[in-house]
Amino acid sequence: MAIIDREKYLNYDSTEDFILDKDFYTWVLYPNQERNLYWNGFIEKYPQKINLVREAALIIQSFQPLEPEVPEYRLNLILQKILIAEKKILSNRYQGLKYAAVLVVLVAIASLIWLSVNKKNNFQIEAGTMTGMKGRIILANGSTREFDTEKTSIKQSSSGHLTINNDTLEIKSDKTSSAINKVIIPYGKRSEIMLADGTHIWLNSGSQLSYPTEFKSDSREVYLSGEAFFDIKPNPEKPFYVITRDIRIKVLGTSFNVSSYEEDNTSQTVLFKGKVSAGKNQLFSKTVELMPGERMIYNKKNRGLTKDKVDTKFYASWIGGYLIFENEPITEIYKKLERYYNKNIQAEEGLEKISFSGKLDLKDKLEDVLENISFASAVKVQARNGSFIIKK
Amino acid sequence: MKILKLEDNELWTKFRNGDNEALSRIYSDNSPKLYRYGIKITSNHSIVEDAIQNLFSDLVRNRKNLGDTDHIHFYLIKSFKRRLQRELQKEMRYNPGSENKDYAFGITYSIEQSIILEESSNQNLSLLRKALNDLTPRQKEAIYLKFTQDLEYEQIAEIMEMGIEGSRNLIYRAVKSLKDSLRENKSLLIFFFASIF
Repeated sequence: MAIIDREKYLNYDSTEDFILDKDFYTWVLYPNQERNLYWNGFIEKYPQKINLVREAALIIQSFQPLEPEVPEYRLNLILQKILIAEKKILSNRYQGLKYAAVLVVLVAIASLIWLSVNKKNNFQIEAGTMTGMKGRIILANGSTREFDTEKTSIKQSSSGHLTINNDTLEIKSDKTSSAINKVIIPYGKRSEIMLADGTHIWLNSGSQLSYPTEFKSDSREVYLSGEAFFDIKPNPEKPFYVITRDIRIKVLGTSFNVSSYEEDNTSQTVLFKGKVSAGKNQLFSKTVELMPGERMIYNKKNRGLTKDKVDTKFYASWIGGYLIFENEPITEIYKKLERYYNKNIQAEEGLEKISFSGKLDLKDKLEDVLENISFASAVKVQARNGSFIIKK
Repeated sequence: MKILKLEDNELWTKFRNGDNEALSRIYSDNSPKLYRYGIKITSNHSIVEDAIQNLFSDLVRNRKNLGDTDHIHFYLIKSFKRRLQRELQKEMRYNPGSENKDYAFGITYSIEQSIILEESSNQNLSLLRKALNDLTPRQKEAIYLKFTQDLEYEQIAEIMEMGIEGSRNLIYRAVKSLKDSLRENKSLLIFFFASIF
């Protein structure tokens, strides 16, 4: 959305005007950082419009449908039928040249595309980058820097200097609004990021973080996909928000861990100290306050929020290079190890019932870590072509 | 694997020139949307799935003779709806009494699953819920096409076989009736306070 003059909206004096405005309903239905900045700015500048805006947002949300489950499997089958039917026509024409091989490849392409396209979301996540070998940062001007270190340190200063490990780049920005940088850390790598306000973030494997190079507006917002530990510099005038695809966490000086991987069924926030409130990433959504030692879980399947008490030491140990578990299903542990080591682990059905307690040192080779778990849990590990197969 | 975003007209041209990767792309982008729309017009999902299959089979068969489009989603949804209606008429002829009900746009609103909207009272929600269910099927359909399928008035008019002004009015009136339902509540409140003092 272009930053058009806000004065246009001053002439909107009915709820209907707002509801039918494309930029407005796009914001309500698909909020992102840019749109939030624009519309929150509008409300602030013209507080007399707030009631219209609220009413309009409520109505737009009310007629969002609950969509039925799409039978993806059957739709995919239809596509394959269509492709096969076409190949038959062609093969009759060309006397069956290499016909079977072409068909298999085509069907494979169809399902691959199907899978990747259907994982879409409004939260912009770079597709297919998590298994790439290098980490990178996409700068606001569109250029990209790659880095190949196991653990990358990134420091952003408000003067526009960006330091990656020991290299400092100077990025000039002539814009009045602050620019957004995006850090992408593939599986098997980690990063430690210092933001311009002194906030300290540890980004775990297979994660992405978008942050403004400077915090110019009256709130500080970062966008996360994956897992990160936050140590937020307190500033009561500028609350800090961590926004994931499903949840939104409001912070007033504190430290906490957020785990919100696309492939996991839940999104979890654990508070270490201070105070945060968290809720679904929707306008006017109800929020839950967390006290130190509490965890909020967002369940993606039933879209419900729940809260419980946890032992925080299990949730930040990855920063120090180890993992601690207590009665954790081993399949959950394998998921974390896959991300951390960027290796493929396959577990036989039924293993989710076995749990493990103990400490795993992530400086060890994956073979040794798996051996440790197997010993305690009485399962067998087989290495095959660089991946691992776990059996009872 | 990385997929580069193509403009609709480029993607469509690739498809017409026989590129099956483009076909897969178009199909996986659009078939879920068509399915969700279709299932609101008829609850018979095998008719919906057949209409999707026939639509794409015909497109593939005639790919060389297809015209240009810079809005694939609209092109498909328009043609899909015509097919679906044809199928439904056929079904009624062979099987009288099956879909013999009046046309209803079968949509369930998320508000009915009580998504929690912090800033609004329960009374507001129940008024809105009632107003939503009082919308006519055509109003529901037009609202759905605009806000969920993200189409323009002109396109909605073509899909629903009406004039552009007509589609504009249909949506405006629907939106206004929802707003009025909320205002009803406020006037109730004012009335309530007025009677106290």
